[in-house]
Amino acid sequence: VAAVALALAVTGCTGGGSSDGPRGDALPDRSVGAQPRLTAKPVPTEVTVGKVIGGKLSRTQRRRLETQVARLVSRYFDAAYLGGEYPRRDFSGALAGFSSGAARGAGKDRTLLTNAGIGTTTRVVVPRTKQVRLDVLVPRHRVVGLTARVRLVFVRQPTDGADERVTVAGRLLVNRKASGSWQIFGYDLKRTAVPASKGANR
Amino acid sequence: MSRLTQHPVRAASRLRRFVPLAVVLATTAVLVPPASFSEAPAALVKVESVHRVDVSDRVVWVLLLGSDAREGQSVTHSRADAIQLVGFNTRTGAATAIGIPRDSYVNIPGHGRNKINASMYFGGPELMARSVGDMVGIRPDYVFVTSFWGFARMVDAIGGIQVTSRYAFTDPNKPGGFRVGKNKLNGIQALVFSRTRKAFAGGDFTRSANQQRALVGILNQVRRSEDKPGFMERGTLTVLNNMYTPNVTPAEIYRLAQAAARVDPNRFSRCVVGGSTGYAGAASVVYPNIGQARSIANRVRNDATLEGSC
Repeated sequence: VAAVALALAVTGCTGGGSSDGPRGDALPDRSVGAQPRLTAKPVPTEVTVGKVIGGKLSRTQRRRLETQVARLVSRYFDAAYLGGEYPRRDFSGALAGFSSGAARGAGKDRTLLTNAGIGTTTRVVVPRTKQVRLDVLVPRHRVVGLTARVRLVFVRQPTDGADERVTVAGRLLVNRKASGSWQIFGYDLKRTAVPASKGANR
Repeated sequence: MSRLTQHPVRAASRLRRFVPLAVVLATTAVLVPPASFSEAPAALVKVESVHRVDVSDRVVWVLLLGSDAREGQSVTHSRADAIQLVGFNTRTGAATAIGIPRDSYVNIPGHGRNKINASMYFGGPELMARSVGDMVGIRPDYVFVTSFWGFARMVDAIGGIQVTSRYAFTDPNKPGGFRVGKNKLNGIQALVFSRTRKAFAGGDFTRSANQQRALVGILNQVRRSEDKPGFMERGTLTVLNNMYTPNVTPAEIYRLAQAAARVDPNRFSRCVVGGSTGYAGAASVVYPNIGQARSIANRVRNDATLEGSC
């Protein structure tokens, strides 16, 4: 299985700046009494194709699929968790890659599907791992849908309290829109937060 | 310093039990000052989960038909041996199955009164959907038809099912017979379980109830396996290869399959339309309780949730 590391939408540490988008490495906060600010390094989205059911994918098809889905998932991760300016209030565009019904119906799920529930109490978010594994349905030589098994790990530095290592893992259900682009039409995700060890922050 | 680790849980009930514990521990964590940067007083793990599949904002109604076509016969223009109208609510995970006895004597649009299962013989799945819609009062959004062997293959493809039988009965395909309680079945055995009628005093009604028990078995098996890589894709392919699905694209079936897999087996209500048996000419028929059928339909139409009994 070919593993493609796509440096898509590399998201850095956010917080304390003035730009709207994600930032690169941040400088440590030198203010008296403040916790050391986390620093971020680029984290690529690693995408692999797992099971291919019902047909075959040519190398070109596989590459294209990996690239397209990596872009979809990476944009979601960035808009929902990693990007923006923390402390952050606005998560209104976080589910832009979802089908209209999935986004509309998300309701209270948004507190887990995004950092909306903790955005205002978060000082910094630093990505650690972005992994995607695709199980693809290819009946009659056409990809009609796929399951993206995702694992996102980031460290969250709250405005008050100890750092957390947050893992968002599970399944994103993906199909094509009429326009041909991909969308997330379903999700089954778990979010786990544990105290971050010192090692995890480096 | 104490160290408590809660591993990820799956069942929502366990999650609900865990949440108060998490709140207590989180409060404790806040009250105890951290020893140093990034060190927490307890290794508290907080796990939360969400799931949803976008198919429709309203209940999706699917008419599941088991054709009695033999080898060489048209699956979609034979009589329907199994007739189950299933609605599922993708927002809540609730579902209701309304079983219709095969011999229900009803009006078939354009063909007068006859057994409802003759609708498919006269006009394929489309006419069958109209007959069921007229009888129950809910017009299905989708019609899926499978054959005996197609059903058996689908059950085998998901690794067999477990059903809970109310009655003990024998069949050469099930060594030791079917026993009261739980039975692990392969495809052929599941087919026998869903088709057997004469062994029961309840005849057609018991058979329809057993078909619903088989549906629950399928759902449980899917829920157990849906996390396995490729399982839902393989399952969808099996449906594509073994079911006739008029006017539905493979992409739509994939989406429906993912949505159906989110049905909570504990919220799956089941009813078989009652009635009395008799004769129409020389034919043994069931005179269905149309009032009951429509009453059930009206109660579950909008949310697929049945409060109370059938």
